[in-house]
Amino acid sequence: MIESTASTTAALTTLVASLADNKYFLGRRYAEWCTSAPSLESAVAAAAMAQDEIGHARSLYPVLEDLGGESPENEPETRTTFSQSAFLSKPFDGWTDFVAANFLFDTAMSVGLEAAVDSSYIALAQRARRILEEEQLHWLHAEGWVRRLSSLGVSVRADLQERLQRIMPFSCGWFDLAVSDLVLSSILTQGTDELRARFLERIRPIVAVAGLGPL
Amino acid sequence: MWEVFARRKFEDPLCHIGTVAADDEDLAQVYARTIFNEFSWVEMVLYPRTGSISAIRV
Repeated sequence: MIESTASTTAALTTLVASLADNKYFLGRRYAEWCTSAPSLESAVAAAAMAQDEIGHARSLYPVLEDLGGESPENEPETRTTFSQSAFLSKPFDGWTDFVAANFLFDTAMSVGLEAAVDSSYIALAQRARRILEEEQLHWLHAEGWVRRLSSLGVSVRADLQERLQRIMPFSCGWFDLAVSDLVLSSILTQGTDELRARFLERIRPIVAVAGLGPL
Repeated sequence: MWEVFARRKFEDPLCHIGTVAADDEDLAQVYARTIFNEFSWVEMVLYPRTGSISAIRV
């Protein structure tokens, strides 16, 4: 447990719960493509990424107990109030949705975790480091597939653009959780605006190379 | 198509462990690492099949 004000603990709890819930649901959405991805190779990658995301969620839920004490809400199986982004509440409509979520939302969470690598809250810092090691592969997968789909013709590129634009607000909006209390208490090294700018810096070169319009 | 080679120990030679189909090297890396994850490799290397030179062809 950290030394902090009630508002900082509340903000940290909200952040960890959001990370855990979003990774849990992203993993479930990825898992739905284990048998229906476009190729055998991408199906195996989808399975591995699903396993990673659910593993990340599994490592984050116990942090909620450290922050707020024992509760059925600290386990995904008994939790009743999830805080995942709305677009993750139902299965993806197609592989393009998978790629868009992988490219934008998965990356947004990684950018957020990068600000927690040197966190004053050790439990989060340790998990952030471990998660980010595995997320390197998710990023390679995302950028590879964005380039690939963009090269498959005008209609596929237009579909990808539409899916990306649908998920973009959820991805940028996620950084709202990086409130100033968390930065002032050194739990995160960067706040909402800096993280959003960093996220845009990460994705824009790929968007440009892929010939996609602005997001 | 990419040929995948890996070794489990630094003193071992790189051995051919399989192939993956991918359009670019980023996806090839992802596919190779997720498909051939049965061991804790110390090194994994990919070569595009198009870059191979045929020394013998019967």
